[in-house]
Amino acid sequence: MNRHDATEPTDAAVEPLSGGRVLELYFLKARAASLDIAAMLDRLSRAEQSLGPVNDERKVRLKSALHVLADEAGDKARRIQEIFSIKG
Amino acid sequence: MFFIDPHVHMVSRTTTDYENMAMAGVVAVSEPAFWAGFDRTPSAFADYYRQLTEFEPLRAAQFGISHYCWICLNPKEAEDSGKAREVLSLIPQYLSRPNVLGVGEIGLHKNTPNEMDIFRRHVQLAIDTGSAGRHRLILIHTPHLEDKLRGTRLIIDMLKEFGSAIDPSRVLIDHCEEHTIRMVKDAGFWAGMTVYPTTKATPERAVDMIEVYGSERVCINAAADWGISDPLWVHRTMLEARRRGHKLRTLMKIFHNNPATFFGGHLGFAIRPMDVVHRDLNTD
Repeated sequence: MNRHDATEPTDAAVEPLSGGRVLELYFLKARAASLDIAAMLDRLSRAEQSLGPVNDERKVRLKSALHVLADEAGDKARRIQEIFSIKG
Repeated sequence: MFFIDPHVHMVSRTTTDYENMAMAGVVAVSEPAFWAGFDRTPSAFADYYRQLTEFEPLRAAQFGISHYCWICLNPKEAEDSGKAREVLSLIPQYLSRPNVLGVGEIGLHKNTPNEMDIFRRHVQLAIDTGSAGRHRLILIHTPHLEDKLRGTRLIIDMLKEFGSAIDPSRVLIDHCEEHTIRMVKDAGFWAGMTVYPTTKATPERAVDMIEVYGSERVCINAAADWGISDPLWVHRTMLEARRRGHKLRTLMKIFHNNPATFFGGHLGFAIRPMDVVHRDLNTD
């Protein structure tokens, strides 16, 4: 460990960002990501209206992930990763 | 494939951007007057208008790109009415310069009464300085994010106040997104879409809008400026359309011919729409 590292606080010692700061830093990116998801679902819907419904487990997983986004519980990123993981 | 970039702020870009754009098929750019990131004095506007009409055309010409521009006071600087009126008085002398397409990008930022007053004055200026019974072309900025929906409605309502003095086919309302593009097209105006992924559209969403609302009276730009932006987002949008199977003729229409048609409303705009012809060399 060099001298610089020794004087730096560990990650655990870093003060958490305030809620306001989190929104300041990440709201626009999250807003854009939500629009991307909405537009992708619209695209899928238009395709299904034109060419018939698609039976694909990726669609089911995506809907499950959207439920996780909307629920009140935390740990969302890990739970969504598990939805998109191969089971077993 | 040739491109006309309908909205790019080249004063904020490097000469390398011009070079990259030329290598990527850009033959002309249209540069609206905009906010510099800080509020300027009236004399700074005079210098800025000289930069747009004298210096940038020379920089672009090094790479075979024709540079056109628009002159106005950007809505972000319209809140100080006294200064705004002083700058407005400077504008007419620049409107007749050879590379000036019209009045723009005027519009609204926070939808305030002062911004609306200066918007109406700009529209009146476009009418008063027109010729042969036609107002000058007008390019309009719609507000960002949460102010866009209301601001776009206000802009269309204000344009309608001018009645038959405003020809919607000579007005492009820019930065349209999913919640505003229909009202703009239904009212007969040209609709601009800006690919600026965090705050405006993405290539995927821009192509979606083309598929849903059609390619008539639509232009796609990147509004590249001093923010996190890139003029080649226009090309990424073309690639997205190509990936979905859109034909070369459609791409040429969206990225070259539509801007050429709208800008062609100004007699000084020299680039004409092109057709894609597949020839059988064995029979020529």
